Amino acid sequence: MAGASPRDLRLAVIADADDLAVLQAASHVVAVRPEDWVAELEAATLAGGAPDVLLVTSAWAGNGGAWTYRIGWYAHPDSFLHRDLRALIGWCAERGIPSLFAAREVPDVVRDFGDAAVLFDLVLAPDEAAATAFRDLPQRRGAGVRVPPSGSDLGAVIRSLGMLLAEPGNARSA
Amino acid sequence: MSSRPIRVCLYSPADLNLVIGSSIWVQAVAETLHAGPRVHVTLPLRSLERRRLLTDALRRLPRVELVDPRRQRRWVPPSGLYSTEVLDLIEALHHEDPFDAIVLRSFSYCLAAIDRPALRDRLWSTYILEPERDIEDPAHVAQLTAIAGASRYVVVQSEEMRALFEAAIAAGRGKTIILPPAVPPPGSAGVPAGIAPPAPRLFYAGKFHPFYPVPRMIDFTEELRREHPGLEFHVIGDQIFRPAGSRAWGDQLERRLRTTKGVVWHGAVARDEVIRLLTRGGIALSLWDYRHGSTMNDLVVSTKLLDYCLAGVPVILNRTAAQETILGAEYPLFVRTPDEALPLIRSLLADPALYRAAAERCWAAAEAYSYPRAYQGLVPYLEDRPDPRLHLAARPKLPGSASRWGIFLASDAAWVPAAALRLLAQARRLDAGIHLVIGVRPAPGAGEPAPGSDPASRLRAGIPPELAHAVSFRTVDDPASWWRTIGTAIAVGDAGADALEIAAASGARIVRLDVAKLVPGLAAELVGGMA
Repeated sequence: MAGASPRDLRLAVIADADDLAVLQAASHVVAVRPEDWVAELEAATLAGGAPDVLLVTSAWAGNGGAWTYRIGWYAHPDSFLHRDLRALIGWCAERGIPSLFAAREVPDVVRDFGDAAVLFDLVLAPDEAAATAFRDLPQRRGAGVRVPPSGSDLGAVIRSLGMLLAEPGNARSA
Repeated sequence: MSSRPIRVCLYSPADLNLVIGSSIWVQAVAETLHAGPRVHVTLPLRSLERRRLLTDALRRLPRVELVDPRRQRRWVPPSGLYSTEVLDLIEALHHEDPFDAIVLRSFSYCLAAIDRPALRDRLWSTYILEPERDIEDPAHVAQLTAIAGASRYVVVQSEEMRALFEAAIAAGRGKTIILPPAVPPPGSAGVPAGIAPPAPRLFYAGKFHPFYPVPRMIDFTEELRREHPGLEFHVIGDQIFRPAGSRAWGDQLERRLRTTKGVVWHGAVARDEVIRLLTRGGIALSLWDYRHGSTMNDLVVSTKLLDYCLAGVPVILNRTAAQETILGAEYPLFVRTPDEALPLIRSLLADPALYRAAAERCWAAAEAYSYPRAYQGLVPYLEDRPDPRLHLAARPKLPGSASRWGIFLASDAAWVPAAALRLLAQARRLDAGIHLVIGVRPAPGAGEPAPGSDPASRLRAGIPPELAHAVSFRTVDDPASWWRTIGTAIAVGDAGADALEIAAASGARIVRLDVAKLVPGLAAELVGGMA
């Protein structure tokens, strides 16, 4: 995957509208839904189009509202334990598909999305302070936290995805 | 309103001879229940009374009756009655004069109690999520499921704990209620009328376990006394963690508590006396070291924290969701690690304005956790006993629900996608940015849908790709929680009046859409949202 053109990348994505549009312009995107991603991703895999990467942003709604209460932190059963997100990440992990969490530049992103971020192979933090806070999360067990050199521009992140995932220490490096 | 007494049995395996969090909890819950003018509390004691610090405070409450353990067993061992003996005693008391509710704390007691038919239907299984047990262990999940299924209610400490329990244990959904820790109301006897004055004093009250980094607090004291020679660290409590084969931690701590200059170790002290000590002024330390304890502690609020608040002292504490709920996210004295407390103590000692601001925030926060306020949360379950579905639906709406419109159907019939499209089109005329959520009742015995494979998703066939992102199909096995995520309930014709009543109780806006004529069968399929 490291040498693939961004346009050829297949991303399974959860993101809010603006980020989703950027990602769709930069690569091939499957905007998964909590109720039917298994069938959708398995069909894509059978057709030879398995995703190269799972990319989830710090989205409050996520794919048009489909992931509301399933990524950010709420005291609600849909939010707690991140059952849907864990299953999606687990499905990807079993197939060697790396998972990325892109924390966007919003207030309290570590507080609100930290519990979700710790589930991923790689967390992309908006700045060094957030990166430090993500690394210090007590439950953290993923492989790495990085501040992308390209900053918060998701299009640039996609273009440098191969490099980011290939960094030593990142799980399932490309 | 009925004047009939409400009889409640309250039991916790805590030893009330000890002044620790779990025994103080018993006192706080007894006081909370006693705030109900018709409530009579029967409180069996696990152990013989040796120290009366807590039991004397309970005896001052006229409608609280303590039951001597010798009523069950002539010779009570030092560790107190065994669980089966306690349950036998509660059954005997219930047989003499039936209880309306049996508030029973701890997982193992509740697991044993559900095998007793006489207790089961009035059992309030309390605080059964215990940090030291693995909530992802299938065997433990099965036991919690059995308790939740057989209990009248499952009682948890906080909204966060309820969310965790209902996420993990489907059988608890809709029957999990909150009993927070509580403190005396402002203005009552012995309760400070304002904040405590600034003073060069640190406080810790509680047990001594590596999760509570008291040795590090003693280090702080030693370091700070170089700058503030008059600084004292007042330590309250006498339960020192000494596991078999590893007494070194406890022995060393005890030595330091006894010999460190500036440390004043009070030992066990009654709760009233703790408040009196605190009101002399100073800084309370409520610090955790996650290397030695579960992050499940993040979901609860301790009575001890509320005591600090009640006394009007600033508290330095870990930033957790539950503690942010009490003090506000911008409260200036949150830390992530114990070491972050030291510069904050320095700031408080140097800056009376910061001290006052933090102390005032703490003092004001305690009011929401007063005994009468906590009791009000129990009234629907103890006194009113109306349709519980309405109370469950009335839990606070979640942020973000405003843009979610919902309808709950009995059916997953083939016409539903067409109905969804019509509903979406109609709804978008009123609000272009909505997300439509179609809740579908699960098939009998189907349980919770697997993540990523909700059976309701097959209704998606027929939704054009360009609208797919605006519609969700969801098998809803937990309507009480589901309604919290829905801002607008869709009404179609006159059907589904039951659902609308519950939707209204949830605070949802009701919008009537005229699609019944266009979609034959839709009206007949609308159901009660909590049925």
